[in-house]
Amino acid sequence: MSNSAPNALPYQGPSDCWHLRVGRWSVLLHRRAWLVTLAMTVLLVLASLVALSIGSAQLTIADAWHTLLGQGNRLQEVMVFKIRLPRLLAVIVAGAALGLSGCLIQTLVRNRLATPDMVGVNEGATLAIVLFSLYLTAGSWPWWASPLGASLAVAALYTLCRNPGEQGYLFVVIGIALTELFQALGDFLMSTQSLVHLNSLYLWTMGHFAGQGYSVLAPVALCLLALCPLLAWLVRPLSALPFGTATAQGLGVNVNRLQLLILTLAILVAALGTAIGGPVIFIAMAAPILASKLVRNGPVPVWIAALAGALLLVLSDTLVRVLAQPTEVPTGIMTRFLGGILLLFLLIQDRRRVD
Amino acid sequence: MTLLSGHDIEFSYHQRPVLTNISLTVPEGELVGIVGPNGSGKSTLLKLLAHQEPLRHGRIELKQRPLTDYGTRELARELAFLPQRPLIPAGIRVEQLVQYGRHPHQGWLSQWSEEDRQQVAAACEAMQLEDLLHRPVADLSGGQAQRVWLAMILAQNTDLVLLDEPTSALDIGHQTEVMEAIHRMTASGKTVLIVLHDLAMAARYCDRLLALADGSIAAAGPPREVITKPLIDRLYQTDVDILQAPGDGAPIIVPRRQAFDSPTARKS
Repeated sequence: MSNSAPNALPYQGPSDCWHLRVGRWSVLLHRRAWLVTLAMTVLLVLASLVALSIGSAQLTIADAWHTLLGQGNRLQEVMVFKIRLPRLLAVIVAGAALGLSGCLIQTLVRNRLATPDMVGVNEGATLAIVLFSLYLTAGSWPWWASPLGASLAVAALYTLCRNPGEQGYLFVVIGIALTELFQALGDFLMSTQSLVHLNSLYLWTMGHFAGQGYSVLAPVALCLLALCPLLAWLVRPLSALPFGTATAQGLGVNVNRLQLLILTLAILVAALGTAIGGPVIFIAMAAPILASKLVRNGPVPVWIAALAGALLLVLSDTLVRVLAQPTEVPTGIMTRFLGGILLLFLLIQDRRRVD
Repeated sequence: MTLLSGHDIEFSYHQRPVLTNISLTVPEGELVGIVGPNGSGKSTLLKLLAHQEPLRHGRIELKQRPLTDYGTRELARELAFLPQRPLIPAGIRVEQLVQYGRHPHQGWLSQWSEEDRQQVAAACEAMQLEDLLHRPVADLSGGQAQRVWLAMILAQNTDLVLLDEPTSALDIGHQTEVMEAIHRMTASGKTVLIVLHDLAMAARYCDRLLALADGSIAAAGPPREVITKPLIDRLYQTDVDILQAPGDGAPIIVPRRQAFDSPTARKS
C-alpha cells in the first residue's frame, strides 16, 4: 500500500514513460529502459577501451583512445587497428547477436532456458559450417552456411514441437536433445580428419575470436544491420506475448504470424552471431536475463539484451586473454564456465520458488 | 438489435465432435451467460465467437459482417476477449496492464494519445483501481486482479466483451465483486457474453442464459425460463430443488442429497 497516495490522483498517463509528441506522431520512451541503455553503452565503451589496451604489449587506456582517434604512433596503430580492433568488433557483434536472439526466443517460448544455444540453433549452424568447410569450400570460410544449418535445426525442432508458445518445456527438452545430436555429428565429422587440418576449425567450434579479420565480420554485420528495421517493427507486438497466446490475440496481435517472424529472425541473428566466433554459449541466456532484471517491467528489452550480450562477451574475452597470456584459449571455454554457474544458480532459484 | 449471431456452428477436436448445430443471437446491450456442465463446450463456443479458434463449419457474424472478414487488429477494436487464465507478465504493474487494452488502437508512431489516456482513466475509475495503479498485479487478491483484467478489457473500448469464467477460483465475496463490475460494464452500454460455472451467479446477473449440454443448446432465454428443475436435472444428471430468492425472485439451485429423499430417512 506504500505506493498509493491517500488521495489518489486521477490517472494522468503512463507514469514510467517519457511521452514524446511531434505533430500527430507520439512515442512513449520507457524511462528506466532508456537509462539502462545509456549506462550499458557507457560501460561497453569503457570495457572496449580496456580490451584495446590490454595484451602482450600493454597500452594505457588514454593511448588506446588517442590511437582510435588517429593520434597514435605507427606501432600503436598496427596493434590497435590490425590486431585488437577486429577482434573487439567481432566480439561485440557476436555478443550482441547472441543476446538479441536469446531475448527473442526466451520471449517467444516464455522460458528462460530457451536460448539458441540450448535449443540447437547454434549447434545446427556450427554443424553446417563444419560440414561445408571440411567437404565443400576447402579454404574459404563458409559463414553463409550458418543460417542454413540453423534453419534446418529449427525446422526439425518445430516439427517435433508445434506450439512453442504453449509447450515451452517440451521445446527446450527437445532442443537439448537436438543440440547433443548435432554436436556429436560435428565431432564425428571432425574426428575423421587429420589433426593438422583441424586446428583452427576445432578451436572455432569451441568459440574462438583470436585472429579475426574483417572478411567475415563485415558481411555478417551488414546482414544484422539489415534485419534491425524488421526487429524494431516487431518489438511492439512482441511485448504482448508475455500475456500468453489467447490474450495477445485478443489484443489484436496476429500471434501465429508474429511467432513465425520472430523465430525466423532469431534463427538468422543467432546463426550470423555464431558464424563469426563459433558457438559461444551462455551469452544468449545471460544477456536477456540481465536486461529484464535491469529494466524490470518495461517493453521486451531486445536492444538492451543485445548491448548486454556485447558487454558480457567483451568482458569474457578480455578475461580469457588476460588469464591465458601468452597462449590463446578459446573464449567459449570462459563463457561455458560462467554459463554453468549461471545455469546452476537459475535452477536452484527456480527450485526454491517451487518449494 | 442483434450484435453477434452464430448459425449452424459445428466444431470437432481430433475427430471428436465438441459442438454441433449451434445457432444463437446476442442482442445489443445485454449480459448473456453461457452455462452448462463441465465439458459441454462452453469455453470452445466462446473461443469460436472470439475468433480465437478458426471456424470450420457454420457462420458467425459481428455487426452483420462475417467474423472471418475482420483483420486481427480490426476485430480487437470491436470485440474484447478475456481468457480463463491470462498470464501476468513478470513485474507488470496495474497501470501498465490496463494500458495494454489500448494496444489495438495504437501504432508504431501513435503510441499514446489523449483518447488513450481518457479510456484508461475511465476504465480504472469504473473498476475502482485508483488506489492500486502502481501495485504489481501479481501481489493483488484474486478479485482485485480480475478487476484489473476487466479494466484492460474496458480500455479496449469495444462494443462486445467476451469473458471466459471470470469468477472461477474466487470466493463468494470476490465473485460478487467481479460480477458487480461486469454488471457495470453492461450498464454503460456494452454487450457482454460470459461463460459461467456458477448457476446462482448466472441467474442473478444475466439478462439471458444459454444452456449447453453435450455440445448443443439445451435451452435459451431469461434465467427464470432456463433454470427449471427438469432442465437442471437433465443437464447435470442430478436431483435439485429450485427456490426463489427473496427480493428479486432469482432462482436458487440446491442439490438434494440422494439418500435423504424424505425427512424421516435421516433418523434411520
